[in-house]
Amino acid sequence: MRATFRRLVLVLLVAGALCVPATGAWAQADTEPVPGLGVRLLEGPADNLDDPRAHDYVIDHVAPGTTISRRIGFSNGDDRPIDLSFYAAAADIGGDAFAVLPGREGNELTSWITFSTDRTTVASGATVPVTVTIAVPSDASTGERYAAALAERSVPPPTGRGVTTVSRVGVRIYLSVGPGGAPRTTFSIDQMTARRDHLGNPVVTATVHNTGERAVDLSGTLDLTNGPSSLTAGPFHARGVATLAPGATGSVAVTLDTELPRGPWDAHLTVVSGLTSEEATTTLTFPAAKGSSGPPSSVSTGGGGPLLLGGAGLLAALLTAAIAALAWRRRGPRATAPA
Amino acid sequence: MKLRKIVPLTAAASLAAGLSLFGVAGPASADVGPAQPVTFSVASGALSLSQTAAPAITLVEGTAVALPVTSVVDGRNDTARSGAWTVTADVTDLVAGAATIPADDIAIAASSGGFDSGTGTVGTPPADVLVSVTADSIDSAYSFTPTATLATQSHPFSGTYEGTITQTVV
Repeated sequence: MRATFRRLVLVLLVAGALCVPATGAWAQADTEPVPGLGVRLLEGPADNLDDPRAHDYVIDHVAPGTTISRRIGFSNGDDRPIDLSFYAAAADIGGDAFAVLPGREGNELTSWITFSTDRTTVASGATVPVTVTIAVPSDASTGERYAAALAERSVPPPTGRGVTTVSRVGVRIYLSVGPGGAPRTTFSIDQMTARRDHLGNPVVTATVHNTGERAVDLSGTLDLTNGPSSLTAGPFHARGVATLAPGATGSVAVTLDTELPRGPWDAHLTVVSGLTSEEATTTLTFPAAKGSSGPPSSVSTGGGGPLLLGGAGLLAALLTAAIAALAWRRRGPRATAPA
Repeated sequence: MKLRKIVPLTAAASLAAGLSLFGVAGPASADVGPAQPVTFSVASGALSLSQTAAPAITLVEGTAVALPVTSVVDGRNDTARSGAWTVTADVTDLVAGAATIPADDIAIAASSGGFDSGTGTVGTPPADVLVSVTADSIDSAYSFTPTATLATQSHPFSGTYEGTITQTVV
């Protein structure tokens, strides 16, 4: 029995080691450059492998005094070489969006960021990997900061005088600093509203409050059930992604087809940011007039929480199975003992 | 007795599923330092921005003047990742000798946008964001025409001004 259990533990350890590397980063494979000036994250921390946001953005939580580096690929999809310069620019979250500030405006985070090169010429069809290093000072205060690692291409006016056009592409950086583990990521769906836009499309808008300590990128999916004649509809995806800073309130909107019956409908909304999700249900009836809105409806929430996907989910399932097996084995002899 | 057999089998099956989920290509050979060995390889595309060749830009007071057409191609995404991006624009002061048109008098906006390929949804951007899009499919391409409008209260001297208009996608 001990041998069997040892084999089980060995399998679990191997599974854990393969699914969730203890250290390091994962890397993205090379692909053909897309038209124009392109950017993609080439690697991310292995402990964030399951977080879809970490595949597109630099998202990390580090202790003060930590230095991390990430490789970013910048590509030239044009038919001639282009000159690029690299730098970090401050970013802010407002109006439900992550936006880079104008010019080369910096902030505390950008002062910690260096690039392996400041400028280079990229051949047609080529991608250059650039290593971005973030050295967090040991006296850095706790909190999340935002910036972007950018490549800039400048095109002078054709006549030599006039307006210069500049294109910049970059990777968002969400860096949380503080001791211990990562701060919690939580949000709440506070209410939902049925309205009709100026084109006559029914729209469901949910008010979402970021109750956690880190920014969230919210996407949503709406299902409608129990409609007129027992109709069901969906899933419908939210219009855009709302980015909310900690403490901020924003909206997730789902636009529907004009032919959709007014209702009433049971509306079930799932809002997701990375590995965190929340669900809300309410009953909605769409107003008839264009540009009008129904009253906000309170919602029943639940069913959300951390999403356990891929390696983390797998490992959790395996550990649960192991614990159950151990408990079963320990209970077994007592159950068969004579009374 | 059954459980003793089932649990290792479940673990092995889950392990196989995990390998498939991650698209493991074996230890990668990327050139990162020993402190951060690359252990997983995931195929993904890029997010790109391109602008058509810029003609000489002539601003007219109170008129939305078209700027070079801007295209964003999002090859990063799949349905799980949402593929969200935003384009922002900013302009510097325009200067012609001693005359200056303040940047605050020039409004940049997006017009006539649409998907050239793929699908997605266009959000309602805040004031400083030109376009906010969630692309739903691989290699979606969205093009739009930015415009620059000079405030009518500026009354600038006619002439050739120099400055910079920047578009950024993240």
